[in-house]
Amino acid sequence: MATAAEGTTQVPPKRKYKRSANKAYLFLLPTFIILFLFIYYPIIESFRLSRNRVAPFGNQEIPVGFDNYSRLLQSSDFWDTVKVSLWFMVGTVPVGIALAVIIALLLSYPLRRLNWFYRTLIFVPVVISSAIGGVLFRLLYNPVVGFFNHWLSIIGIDGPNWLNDTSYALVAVTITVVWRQLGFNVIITLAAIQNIDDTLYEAAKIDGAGVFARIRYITLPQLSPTLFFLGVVNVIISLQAFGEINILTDGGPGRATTNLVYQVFIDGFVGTRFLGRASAQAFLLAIMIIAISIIQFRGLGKKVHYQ
Amino acid sequence: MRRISSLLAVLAVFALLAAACGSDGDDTAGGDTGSDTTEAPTDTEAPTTLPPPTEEVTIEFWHAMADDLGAVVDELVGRYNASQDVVTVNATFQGSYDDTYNALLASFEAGTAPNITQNFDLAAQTMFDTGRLLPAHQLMAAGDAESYLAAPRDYYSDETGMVALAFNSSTPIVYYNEDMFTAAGLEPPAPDWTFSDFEATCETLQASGVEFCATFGTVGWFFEQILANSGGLYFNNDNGRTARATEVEFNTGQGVEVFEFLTGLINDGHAPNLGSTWSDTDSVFFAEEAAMIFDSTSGARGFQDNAGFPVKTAFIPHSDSSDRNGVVIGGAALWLLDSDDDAADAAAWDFMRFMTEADQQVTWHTGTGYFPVLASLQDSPTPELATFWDENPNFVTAINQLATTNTSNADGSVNYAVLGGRAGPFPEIRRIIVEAYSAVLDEGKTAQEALDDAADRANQALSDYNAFFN
Amino acid sequence: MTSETPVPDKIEIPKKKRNFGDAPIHISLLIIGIVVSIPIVIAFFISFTPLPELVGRADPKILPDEWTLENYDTAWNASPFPRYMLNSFIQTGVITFAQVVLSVLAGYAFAMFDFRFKNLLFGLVIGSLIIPFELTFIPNFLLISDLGWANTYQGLTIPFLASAFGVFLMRQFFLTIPRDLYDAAKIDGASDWYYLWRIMVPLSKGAISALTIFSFLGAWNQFLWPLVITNDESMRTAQIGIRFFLVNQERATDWGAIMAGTVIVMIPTLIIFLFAQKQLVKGIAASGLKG
Repeated sequence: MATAAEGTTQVPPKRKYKRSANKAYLFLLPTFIILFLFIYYPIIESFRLSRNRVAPFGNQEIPVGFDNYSRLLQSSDFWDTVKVSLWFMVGTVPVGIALAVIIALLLSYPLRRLNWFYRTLIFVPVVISSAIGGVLFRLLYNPVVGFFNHWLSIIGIDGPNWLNDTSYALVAVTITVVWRQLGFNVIITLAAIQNIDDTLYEAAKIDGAGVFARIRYITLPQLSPTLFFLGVVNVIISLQAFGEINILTDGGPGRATTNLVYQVFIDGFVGTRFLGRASAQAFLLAIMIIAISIIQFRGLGKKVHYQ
Repeated sequence: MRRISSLLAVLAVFALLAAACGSDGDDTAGGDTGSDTTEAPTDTEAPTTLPPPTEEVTIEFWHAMADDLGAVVDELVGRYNASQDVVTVNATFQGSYDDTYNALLASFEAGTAPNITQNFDLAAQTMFDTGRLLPAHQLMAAGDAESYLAAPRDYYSDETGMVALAFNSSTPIVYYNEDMFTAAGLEPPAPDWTFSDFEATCETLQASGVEFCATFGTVGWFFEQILANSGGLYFNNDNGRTARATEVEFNTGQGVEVFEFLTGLINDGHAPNLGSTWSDTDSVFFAEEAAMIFDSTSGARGFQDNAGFPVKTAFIPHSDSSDRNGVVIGGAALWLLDSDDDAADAAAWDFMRFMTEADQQVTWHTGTGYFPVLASLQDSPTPELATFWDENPNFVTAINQLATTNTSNADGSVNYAVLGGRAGPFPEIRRIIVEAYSAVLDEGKTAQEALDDAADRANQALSDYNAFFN
Repeated sequence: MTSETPVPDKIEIPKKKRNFGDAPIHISLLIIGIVVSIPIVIAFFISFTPLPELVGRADPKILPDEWTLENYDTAWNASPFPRYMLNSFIQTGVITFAQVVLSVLAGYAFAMFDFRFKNLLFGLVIGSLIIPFELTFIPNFLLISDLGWANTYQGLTIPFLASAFGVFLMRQFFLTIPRDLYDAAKIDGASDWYYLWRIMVPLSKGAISALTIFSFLGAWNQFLWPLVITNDESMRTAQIGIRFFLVNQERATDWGAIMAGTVIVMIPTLIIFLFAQKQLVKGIAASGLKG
């Protein structure tokens, strides 16, 4: 669609502006239809649902104001799921990031060969889904035919019943999630390490700094924006962990691995359905995620060292 | 911008309208149950007995029978389809009982409900509350209800009569490793053995070198059954049968003793803690790490064929402070959903009737372990059935266990305990019991404390549910 | 990227330090690599192990005594596995295609045009990234069910046709293309549509392929949504199929078949990983650096 060449001063600016604005809106339209229908509108609807008691079937609703919320906040079950969510977060995020840093440091060492081989082995979990990860580890944790306990018995340790022992179930799920997140965390950390200006290292070496000193005073501070980014992302992911729990423990034993997301799922889709209560919990979960993110930004954000 | 905002507004209105109106979903040929509004279809107008279908019709049958069990279902369905040209039954496996139950509820909203669904015992109250059923008694010839065994018939009846057709009925039994019993010098367990007898057997077995004397999944079913066997009621209002259940009673009376027994087996090292699994316990039994296993009679074929040792069966025990009361039937039944299409309903009924006929019941029973629900088969079994029972005594245990269950008490009143509990949020309550196990085994609470906690939550669930259906 | 040491360093580090330094690194990385990839490796081997070797076995071995393909046969035929895979391919294909196209369009709009509420709208896009899935999936489930789209491809795909992350990515990338190119094209008479698809997109192969990979992986690995929106066996995706496989096979605990099924479901993502590793890694790295 060729238009005549436009002189730069002849076209009135307002018409040009309007045309490009229309085009812009048109280009944006499909995306915003989807965003509006399936992200923004549901938030409102979720809130509305949370203020009702919804029948398990038959489309009946009984408005109860904020009663769902007050029941939740007063129920020990709810606070148990909050605790599980938080313990889970504490278990997966620092460990995951620390491991990623160590592994990324090792991978960043200038090996002449085989670096690609190690990277391939270590990055693989990046493409594995939460469900597949769950299935893989479910075999490993199995009390009869599983490999973890078999290996432990070789070194003389009597392995626990990972998925059925309340003391170990959350650990088992944690290991699985850390494993799955590792690839992603390592890739990002490695890229950041490789982005660090070499001159900084050279200057340190000239001053006589050894390997560990260089890591402590250069690498880690330079990594701090990345570590901060990983912290925020991993926290959000850990608070939303679902697939592994569904496959490994179904929230059990008892409620030992039932985090807030899982409880929302159970209330909304398993057994007798309580959609009102589920929606209220979803809202409280969202508030929790946002609150923790804000705390991270305020608290740790200051420690981040920028160029 | 104004144009865009109005466009978005129009789209929003469209979206909300679409959501509010709720269109019909996919059509299952001849069997769509239509709208998902809140009006309860009146089923009192349905005709008594429908004429058999004459035009070709396909009906949808949802079931929860996996693996080997599913294979037998498929065989029976195939048999039916081959036996006539008018009706084609399309059987779909929906997953576990829970999954099938949820699939059904979801299908109401989507308008894609099947003609027949197999729903488990616990769903009885909910099924009644959906208002979408075509009760069996309206479709069967007068007097036919008597041809079924009393227990499965009564379990699925309401005050109007028999509603669902019990199809796969089971009771829990104890399977044991005969070699281990012989090696320990034990006689087969008595039919009315008590908790103390059970524990004594455990001591003997473990003294003879067996690692665990028993294994079982910490599921709600065994608690319910052993409670019934000990004469305890699960819900108030006669177990929820004479009026809607409003409170649970399992934390009183026999309930505590039963729960102490079950959790005690694990706490005292007689049984391993494998969680609320069905398969890990199987593995332990097959690997000969446990001498006994609580399971359903539906596993009879599986245990017998796959174990590397002779397998025998026994009744479940009861509490010391009670007499043996008997068991509740478990398993599931076939529910006919009203499809507003007489031909489809007639076709569905024809298939349901077929599935409970003698030949099919024999195939089903011998292939799985679920017992036949036709009274005639028990009173006067066919020669092949009789021979089968002689050669496979394990398959008879559940039948005998049910046959020796008292449906009336000594004073003539109804034995509601063995009739079984009925309540809307029963599946949720079963989940609460699973968590109560954990409270005792993992958090060290006493059985009474755990059951009281469970009772509070169960009562809350009951009152929430009842708020909608009164 | 500085994986090679610059020349001055090579002179400074004494040879003996380098020789000493390499081996422990190799060993550590090898151990770590094995540990990380073990679950997948075991899955492969178990998938080739016949059932009798697995039942009631008290000391599990990784390598099968006898290799067999029957697990794959079981997995493929026991449940409608081919159908599950087909469903996943359709669902993933549709979502990936839509996300890329919509993100390119929206990214272009944000990068190239000036219009009222531009910042607000972009803020809405970014804002949607913060919103957790739990808040939206229940009403989405109700909406999709009421529309009659449960157990349909529409139900599986439509809520995910747009990708805020994709919009962000494409906008960032498009901003790096010099404005002069655009102005020159405009002078030559090119329309925006032409410029976008004939000039911008070919220049953006890297970003677009990274986005394609992300979208594909995200869609293929979806779990919660397909779980709640499908009940019908014929509409389940591969991930859900695996879960039901686990339930289905529970009684027999046929781990061989379960692992065979798992391997089958992993294959597309593993293929992407092996052939597109560089793209994938670059994409993730880039998002991390900019974050």
